Amino acid sequence: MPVSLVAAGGWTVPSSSPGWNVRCVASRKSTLSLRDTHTWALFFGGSALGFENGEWIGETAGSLIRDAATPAAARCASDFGEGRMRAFLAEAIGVRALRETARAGLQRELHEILDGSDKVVLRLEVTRLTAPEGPVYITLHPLLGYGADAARMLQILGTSGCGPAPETLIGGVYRLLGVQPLAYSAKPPLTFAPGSEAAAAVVEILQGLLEVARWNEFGIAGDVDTEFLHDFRVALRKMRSVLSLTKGVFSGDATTRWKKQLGDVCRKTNALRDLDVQILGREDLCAMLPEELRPGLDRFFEESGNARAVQARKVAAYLKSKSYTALVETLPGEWENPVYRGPAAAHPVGLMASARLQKRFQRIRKLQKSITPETTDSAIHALRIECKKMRYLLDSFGRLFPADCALPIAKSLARVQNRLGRYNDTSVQQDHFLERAHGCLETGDCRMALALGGLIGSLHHEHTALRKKVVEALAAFCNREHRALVKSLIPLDQ
Amino acid sequence: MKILSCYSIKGGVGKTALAVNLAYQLGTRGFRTLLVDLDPQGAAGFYLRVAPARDFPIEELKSLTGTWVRANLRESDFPGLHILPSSLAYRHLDNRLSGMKKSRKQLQWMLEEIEDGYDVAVLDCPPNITLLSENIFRASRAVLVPVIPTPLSSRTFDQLCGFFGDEDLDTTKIQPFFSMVQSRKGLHRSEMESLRSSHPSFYRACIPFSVDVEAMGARRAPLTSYSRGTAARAFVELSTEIIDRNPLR
Repeated sequence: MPVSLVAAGGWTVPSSSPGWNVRCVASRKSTLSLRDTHTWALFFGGSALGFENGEWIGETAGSLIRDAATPAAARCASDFGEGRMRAFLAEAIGVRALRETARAGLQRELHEILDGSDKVVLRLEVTRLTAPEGPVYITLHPLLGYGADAARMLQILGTSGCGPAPETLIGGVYRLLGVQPLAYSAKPPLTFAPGSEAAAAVVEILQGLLEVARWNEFGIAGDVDTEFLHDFRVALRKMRSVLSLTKGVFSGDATTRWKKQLGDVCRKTNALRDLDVQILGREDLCAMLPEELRPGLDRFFEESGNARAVQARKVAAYLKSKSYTALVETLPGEWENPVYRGPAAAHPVGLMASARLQKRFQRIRKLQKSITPETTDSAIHALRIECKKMRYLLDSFGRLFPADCALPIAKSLARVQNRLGRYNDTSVQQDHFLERAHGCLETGDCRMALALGGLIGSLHHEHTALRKKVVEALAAFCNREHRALVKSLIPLDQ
Repeated sequence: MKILSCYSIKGGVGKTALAVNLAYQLGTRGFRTLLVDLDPQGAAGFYLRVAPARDFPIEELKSLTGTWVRANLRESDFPGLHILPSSLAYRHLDNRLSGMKKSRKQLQWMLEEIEDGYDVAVLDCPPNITLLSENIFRASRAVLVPVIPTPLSSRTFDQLCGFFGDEDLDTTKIQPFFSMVQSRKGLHRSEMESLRSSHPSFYRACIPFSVDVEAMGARRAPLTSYSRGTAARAFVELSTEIIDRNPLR
């Protein structure tokens, strides 16, 4: 395994010693352009990405991944060619976009250490940070079968001023340039305790979620990537849900008004999100079709892309509008205004959450028991909404309960939601494609109609097969063990 | 891990030159490659500047094991290419193999113990037909046979084909190519024509007789790593053909 060391600026490679020759085989100046997402997904995931000398260099779990075929302008994982780099980025950043986070001037050197037969026994990769001026980063690459030489070199390096690297090169660049990555989470940290007043706890949740939504505004306005809108909408939906689920904490009128206002904001972004989901799913949708039918989707996605561009502009303009700005600026003050306190405002939040989680679970269980082969999709959809509400309750208040009670419930609920989510998607997509297919028949675009027909067939098949899995997951969620766990959801300090 | 052997009953026909250049070509093309020098002379290791392996404890072995192999693996100077250098003790290998159970499968089992780390192993084999050769034939995906286009060399090639037939070995593993070819000699041309018609499995690429190949010993590196000459180009072409004919991943 390579060993990373660091030395003060000006350090030089020790010259030849008995039995060894040192040969510098490469030396060049270069500029390293560091890339990461706006959320610093790579930095906080312990990975790094840079573009240097026409080549992308990824670093993850101590190994380097190189890609010289993808141009410098690549912005997201799907812009990279098939291979290890694309797989690494897809895993590390998902659909997030990359941006340049910093630039550094480097002097890169490669030294080979040769034995008496001029055989390479180890390599030293030396990187001098020249702008900003900084330390020298040394990586010793031992060669298999030459461990003794590597051990000897480590000793020599130790006496020449090299020590263990406390940070990576990239960490050093950020430190020297004063770049301070801040962790982003779509789930805001919460501090309230089970005995806290319900109103204070709910206000903390709402304010945290509003902060998340507002942080994402710049990414939506600049159309950086689709995750900004996704997180924005989830935060708004959670806010609405929390308002519904904590009925009584605020006055009825205020709750209704805030829910409507937040719902209106969500609705403005519905069309854009639907198109995002459709375009992101292009690869999967194409894979559902035989190769001959796939070209029929080209125009479909071209039209979706054009419609998306229009919607993105509309949403960006809306986020700059006076009505939106006024709403998001006045809401935090209103939530804290005692005028809007409801009858349950002073209740301890832990007990309130416990009662509402149990109520929600009972409701889900009642619906689950009523499912028969004749149950309609819209009834299943209603059950999905109930599950979502319970999930939001667990997201917001789960930490008030013992982890061995709350976690198994949350885990099982997530499984149900995944299946219900796909079940719903396959239904909504069928309706949407059917509508578009009717349009194709009117315009005479038979190729697109054929492709959409193929998709509808495939989705119908998947939807039918999913029903059994949904019923199974729901039964598992409502089983005796989970019923007992829900009953024992007692706040930690009660 | 797929095993390609460079083998001939005759010595001095170009086995090691192919083994070293093929292994280098595989490494540069992204295959994790192990060059196994089975010839006690240790020429393949010499070409790559790798010292012979530590003493092979042949007297103590009840069977060939991967432990000794792992302890003696060496990384070459070239990307993706490792080498298991030779040991003088290999000269006793045949004697020891004959005393082992399942004596014809020992080499295959030994290589299977390290197969996770490599895509391909290239074996540089000693000449003669021995029990070790039978191990090699059984373990290999392909047996690459250099044939000098002369009557004597053709005869030993026929002997090899006959041996495969007699021992019920898979004859499709035998993949011959012409080596040390001097195309200005009429004898070489006619011998090549005759052999190609009787054995269509001969590779198209031919390795010419060249001082460049002999000079590899002075340079101590695969010819294709530093030369663009005729012989180097022939090794590149032959390696490409070998990779195309034998799916290695």
